[in-house]
Amino acid sequence: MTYRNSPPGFIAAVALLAIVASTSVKATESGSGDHDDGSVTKTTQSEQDVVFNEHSVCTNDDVMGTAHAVFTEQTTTSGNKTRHRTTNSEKGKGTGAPSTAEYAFQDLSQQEQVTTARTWTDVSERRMHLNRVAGPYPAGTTRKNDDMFLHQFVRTTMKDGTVKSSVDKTHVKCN
Amino acid sequence: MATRNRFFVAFSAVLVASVSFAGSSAYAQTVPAPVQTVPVPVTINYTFDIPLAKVTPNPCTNGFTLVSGTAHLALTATTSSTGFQLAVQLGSTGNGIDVSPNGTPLVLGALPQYLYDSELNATTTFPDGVPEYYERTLTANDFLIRDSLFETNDSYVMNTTFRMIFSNGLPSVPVLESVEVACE
Repeated sequence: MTYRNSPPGFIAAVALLAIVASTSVKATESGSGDHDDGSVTKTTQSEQDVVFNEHSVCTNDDVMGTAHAVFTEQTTTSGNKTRHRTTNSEKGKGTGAPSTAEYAFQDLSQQEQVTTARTWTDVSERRMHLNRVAGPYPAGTTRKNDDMFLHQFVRTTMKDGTVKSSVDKTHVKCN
Repeated sequence: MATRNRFFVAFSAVLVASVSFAGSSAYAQTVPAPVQTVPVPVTINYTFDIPLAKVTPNPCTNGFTLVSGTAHLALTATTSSTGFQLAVQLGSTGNGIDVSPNGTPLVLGALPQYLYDSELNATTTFPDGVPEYYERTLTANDFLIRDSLFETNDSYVMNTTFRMIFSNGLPSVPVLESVEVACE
């Protein structure tokens, strides 16, 4: 098992793999929207193309590739409750070295929390599958254990209605 | 292109709760000492086993899979001087077999069964103490792959979402909210 620390303040939207470089960062934030029921909603979305480089402890491949990530965060305050929803969507592909095997992944994950608490911190684990879709099997591996799974720990902090997300750490498992 | 389907399924659960008190000890003293009111951490453990038996479309073959498994939810609620903390561990394991739309196992053309298992953790901390109300979802991200050494090109992802509600720190039985599948 490999542990990797992510940069501090790293935004969850783009944190799905160990990022070496990023391009085309786009972030949008809608203003507070008042609804008829008195609730107020704030939505932010960030979209990013990233380059990743991750070592597979399953095949000893160094997997390099590109991914596109869209992270949406919505906070709704109604009465004494705050609802916090996140959606993370990403898709990418890469090539392993030295095997030249192809890897691909596609992930869509959602999470929702509702609470009366004004201040809280949540650390949730997220599991993503990097599918080794083509290429020779290294010694000791078969189709059942040549993929790798990225486990990310996403930290969300809500303080007096203001939310902030980042990735604490990422580690790789074979299944 | 991935195809996602959502299903709402029934559930049942088994709840086991236990209570443990950490560091509770007392000493007889002859000299009165200043009273220290440091709260003793109190931890309560809850476990839920939620069986899953559901016919789902196979997003890779356009057939159907009977998924049979169990989700094990272990909750730990801790109250201490630093606030209230909820730790959730979700373990998911099971298998899937090729079936007809009504759930009858295929006699002809069935491939080796699918297998899956995963484990996830989540921890939420409330520094101001036990919240009056807290609700959250937790999704098991499972990868269904056939128990075969030969490539079948029909492995797929199954996301199983549970919703948990805590009233004044006490959990109700988690609800299996949805099962989504997508071909990779």
